[in-house]
Amino acid sequence: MDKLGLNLPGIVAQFVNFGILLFILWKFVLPPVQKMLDERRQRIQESLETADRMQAQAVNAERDVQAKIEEGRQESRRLVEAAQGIASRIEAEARERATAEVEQLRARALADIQLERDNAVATLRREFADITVTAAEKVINQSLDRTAHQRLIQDVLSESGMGSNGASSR
Amino acid sequence: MKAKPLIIGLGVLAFMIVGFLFFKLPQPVIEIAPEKLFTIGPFTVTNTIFTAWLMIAIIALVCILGTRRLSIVPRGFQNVLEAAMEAFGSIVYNAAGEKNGRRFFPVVFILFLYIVLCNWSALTPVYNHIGLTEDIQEHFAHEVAELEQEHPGGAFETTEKHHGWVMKKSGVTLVPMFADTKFIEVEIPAGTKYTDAMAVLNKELAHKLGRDTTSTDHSQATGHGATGGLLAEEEEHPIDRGPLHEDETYGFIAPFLRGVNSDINAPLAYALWSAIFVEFWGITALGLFGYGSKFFNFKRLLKGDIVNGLIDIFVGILEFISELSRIISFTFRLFGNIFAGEILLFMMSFLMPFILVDAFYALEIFVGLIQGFVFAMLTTVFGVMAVASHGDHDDHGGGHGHSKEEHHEAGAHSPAHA
Repeated sequence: MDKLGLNLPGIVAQFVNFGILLFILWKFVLPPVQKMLDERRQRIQESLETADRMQAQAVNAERDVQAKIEEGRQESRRLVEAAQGIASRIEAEARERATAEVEQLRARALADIQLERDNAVATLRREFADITVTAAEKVINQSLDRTAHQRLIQDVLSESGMGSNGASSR
Repeated sequence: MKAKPLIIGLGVLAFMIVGFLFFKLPQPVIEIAPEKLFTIGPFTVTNTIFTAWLMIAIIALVCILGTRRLSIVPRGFQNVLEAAMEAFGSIVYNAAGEKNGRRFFPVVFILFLYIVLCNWSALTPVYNHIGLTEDIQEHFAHEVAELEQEHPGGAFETTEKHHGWVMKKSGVTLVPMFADTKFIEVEIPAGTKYTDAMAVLNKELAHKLGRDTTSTDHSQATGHGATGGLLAEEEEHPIDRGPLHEDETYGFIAPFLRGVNSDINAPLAYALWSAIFVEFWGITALGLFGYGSKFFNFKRLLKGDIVNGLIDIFVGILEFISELSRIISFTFRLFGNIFAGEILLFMMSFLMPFILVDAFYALEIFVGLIQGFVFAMLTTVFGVMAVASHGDHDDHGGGHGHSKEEHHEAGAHSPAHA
């Protein structure tokens, strides 16, 4: 034992020495450093999580934007289709209305023409009768009863089929 | 083109030869016990205790100053300490699990730090080579005088050996650098009377030095004259200087700084701390009775199961012995490795002072680290074993019911007697 240098005071001294170091480091050095290590680990973890979250958000946002764009595209397509539908309807309507108007105009024109012709025929007939009467008076020199004369002519015209319309005007 | 390595090789060889021829250290004087430096009251301060004080002061100061202003982005010393703590911490957590690892970490990390720093610092040249000259003749004279007082007319029961250098007398000194400093071992054979011992030592010394007896007589005469002017105590008992000249001493150098762990008291002190903490962890984890039943297990004996009860008691005794043997193996593993390393470096410096010795310095750096690591990791493993309930040993005998102890952490099942 003595040759090895093993002795109680030496053991006690070294025991106390290490105890002092243990106390100092344990009390004053390790806790702040350990705290710092833990804090840093936590921070790194947090920032990693934040980054993950951010990335997820970015992906979501991207998807949202894509969806919005797609939606917009569909919307515009729908709008264009609707507009086209409306336009074609308007066109058809316009065309229809125009046709109808034209038809109406034509009908009215035809009626007018008919009227004008009837008028013209009646007028012609009356003129013709008058002229005939006058001519007959002159030619025959015979003064006939004017009313009887008129009836006579009317009969003639009826027989010939010309006075059917003009008869009503008088 | 081949000339370059050849020149380098020859240069190295020449360097080694020059070292071998001119810079050889004397054959080392190896002292297992730490050398005494001074006394404070009744307490003797040895060089290892002094070195321990110095190391603790430096480590504590550097650590406290270095961690005074911590920042979340580490720099400088904080970075070094944090890296060491992280690396070591992860190993401890792996071995012991997160919860136990947190409890064990401060103790095992400080053990590791202190042991490794002490080992590494001991490799610097200020260690072991600067110190006080210890006069063997003077020590021996005192020893013999004391023994004679205690047992008048007694004799040495065993052969006494002393070894040292014959060198120039000086107070504080370097280890003599040149090999012509004579390494001398003297033997005082068993049966030598205390009163004759000094004469025997001087005769041996004269014989080993090759100085004749006439010159011895002459020296003795001058020795008497020289000591006349010394301390009053020595005047009463003048030391017989034997064959030495007036300016010579037969002694060795007690270095001021010596590797702390090359003193067996230091590893023993760490082993005691380690054991105290292991027991403490065990008791706090399992309770005083839970932990104590590892050593004193009377449960089955009280139930009337005599055979198994006696086996339990015997196992308890074995457990107790194994706890004690851990302290001893801790002590001698660290002490043996570091002390052997020191001797290895001494011997290599003596045999081949340049180049070759560097390889052994590199080896010692590695050994210093590994020993610190082994000490700390064994403490961790013993801690893990202490906090693990030992009930699972009983369960294995039953063959079923393993699940009962499954809640213990995985670390608890790590290889036991590593």
